[in-house]
Amino acid sequence: MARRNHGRLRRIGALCLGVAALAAVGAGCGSSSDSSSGGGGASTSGGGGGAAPKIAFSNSTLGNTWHQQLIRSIETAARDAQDQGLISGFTSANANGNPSEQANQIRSFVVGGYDAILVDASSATALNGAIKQACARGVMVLAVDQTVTEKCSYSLVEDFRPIGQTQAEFMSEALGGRGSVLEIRGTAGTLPDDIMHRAVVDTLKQKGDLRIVGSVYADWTDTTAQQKVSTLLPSLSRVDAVIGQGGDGHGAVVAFQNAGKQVPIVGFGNRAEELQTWADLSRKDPSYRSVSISTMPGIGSAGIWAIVAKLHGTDVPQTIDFPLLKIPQENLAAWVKVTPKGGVASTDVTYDETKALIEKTKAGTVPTVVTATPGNVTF
Amino acid sequence: MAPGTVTTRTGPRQPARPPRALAGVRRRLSISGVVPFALLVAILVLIVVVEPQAATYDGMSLLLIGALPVAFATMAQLFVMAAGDIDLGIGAFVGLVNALVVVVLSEHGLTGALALAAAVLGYVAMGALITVRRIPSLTLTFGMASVWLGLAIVVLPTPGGTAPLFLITWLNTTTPVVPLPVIVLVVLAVVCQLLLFGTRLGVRLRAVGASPVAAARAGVPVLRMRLVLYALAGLMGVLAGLALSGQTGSGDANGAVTIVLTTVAAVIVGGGSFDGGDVNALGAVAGAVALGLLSSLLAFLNVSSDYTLGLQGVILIAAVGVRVGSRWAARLQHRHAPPARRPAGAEQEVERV
Repeated sequence: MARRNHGRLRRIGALCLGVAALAAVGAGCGSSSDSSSGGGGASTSGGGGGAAPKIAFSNSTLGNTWHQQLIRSIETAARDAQDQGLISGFTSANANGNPSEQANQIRSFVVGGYDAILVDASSATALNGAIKQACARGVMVLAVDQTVTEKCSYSLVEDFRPIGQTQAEFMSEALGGRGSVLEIRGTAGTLPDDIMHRAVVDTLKQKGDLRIVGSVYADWTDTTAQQKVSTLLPSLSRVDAVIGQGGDGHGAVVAFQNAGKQVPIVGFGNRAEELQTWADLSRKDPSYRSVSISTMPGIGSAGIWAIVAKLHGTDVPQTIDFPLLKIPQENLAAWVKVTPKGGVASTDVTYDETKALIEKTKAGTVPTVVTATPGNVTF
Repeated sequence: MAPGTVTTRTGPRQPARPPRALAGVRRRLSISGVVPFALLVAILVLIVVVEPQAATYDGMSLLLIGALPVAFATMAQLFVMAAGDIDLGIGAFVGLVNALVVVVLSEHGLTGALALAAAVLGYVAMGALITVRRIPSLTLTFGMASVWLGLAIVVLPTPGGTAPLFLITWLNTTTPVVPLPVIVLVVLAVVCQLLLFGTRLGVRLRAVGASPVAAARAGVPVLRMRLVLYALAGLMGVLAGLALSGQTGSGDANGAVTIVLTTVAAVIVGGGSFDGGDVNALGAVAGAVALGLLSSLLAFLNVSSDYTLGLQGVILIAAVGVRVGSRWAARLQHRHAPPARRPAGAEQEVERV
């Protein structure tokens, strides 16, 4: 009997304790609610006059080599902006690919009084609520790479279609309009994957009679691509071409080589490993020709500068266009030389170049794809 | 499992304990019971110290609204863990609900409600399969994660859609004095705790989790109780999906896949264990909120959030460590008393009900 009472006591005790702790949270907010509830953006947004603004970067994941270069590009530009006194502070947080954690981080930056937040979204939609809350409090949000559907956010956008289209066109031409294609896709249920996949399907249909005989999801990651392609290969009698989405070409080649099969024409995505693999294949067999196209991680620097431009009074359109980089066979050697190991062929942009990009976007004259040798990429 | 695991139940054939042992038990309970709340308060205090703006009504709303879907999903995990199982599919399930809400519920209210009810039934069916076919929950729920995700992608192939306005409006309601997320979290925790510990049904639910054999012997309908647990889990999963939809305003099949381990961690930090029947809803909600606020704290401290995962792990181990430590200390105190045996304890409690 005594024990039973004890159990009940404990439950009641625990209940009280819990309620007390949670109530303390509430009381904490309640006591000071008068000071801010109507404040809106006044307390969080310091843009305009006074001290130089602060920028935060909310990143989805450290991810692959592309992402790491994007982060470096962003940090370098932010440091430059800080050195020039254009911004007074910069911080970043990484959500490990978890949208709810990233939404938390965005809200924290709002509470922390940042004037603008650069976002590489882990989901095109799951951050919308947090972004809307930021906008409502006068905080500028700009999305790069993986953008968001929330209308109040600014975004730097690339057109992903040419990635699928360019490869599909090249393969159709190289194979004379007939053949079997293995498609390596990105992450299921994401927008870029969907766009690139549709582009491949549409272009192949237009250009002739190439059939997609197999398709794997490789999350734009080399090791995953190698694994998935290796698993699928035994079930495919013939593969003439591989169309990827970037970051998967090297893995695909290795999978074919390990299986002792002849390497088909593989479309590449500008990663150093892919370019090197392509150069090796072409050296061994001069008739081996392919194409490489991908987004440039240098877009990150444009993101920082576009925010700086906006915070310093430039009229910035809601979406700013950014080109893709295409590397044809003739530019391969030059890009192999300048792309660091583990990196992606790309170039960072300056403040002035970003301002030019903004003006070109307004005029609608930003090319979707640039084909240039290193050092000659213009915006 | 280990002697002393059971907190509320003690051996039936055990004579009344010496007072000294009872004191030990009481101290052990208070220490481990306090962990999630102490953690929550500590993180809150740190956040407010670093960023005073967080202590405002607006700041607290912003910081806590993100905890709502995770807290509901944690309750789903808690009910499954109360059954002695684990649910690796809850994240994907919340994503499925999110997809159903923005695609179906926002267009056709009734069809949407039926679809959500069907989703809950899916959870009940999953519980039935696990119980009747004796499939390890780890295996089945892991497999079901792919099923939920696949269904979600079929319903919503790419992120998009719009959540019904009433959800968005409701989540952005300005409540007087105490922000809405705080009210929802407190109500959620108290209701679940009262259900599990304040009702006859709750005792039976925990009993089948603690020891199905003993519960069956005591006349508890094991299958039915386990189905109730899974239905509750499904219901909480649906609520999590609704909260997520209202909060994001849109849908993403992949949007919640990654919360699975957070929900397990929250249940454990909150005082639960993998033993079944041994859960604490108040603690688990506090744990979920604390783990969510951790990333905010790191953002305020300008600490790279690469450490978030690691730090969550450290907190998890520390919480379990405190529990094991206090249990060990308690056992030292009454090592002369015969150890409390769990199945017998569960049986006895059921007999008493």
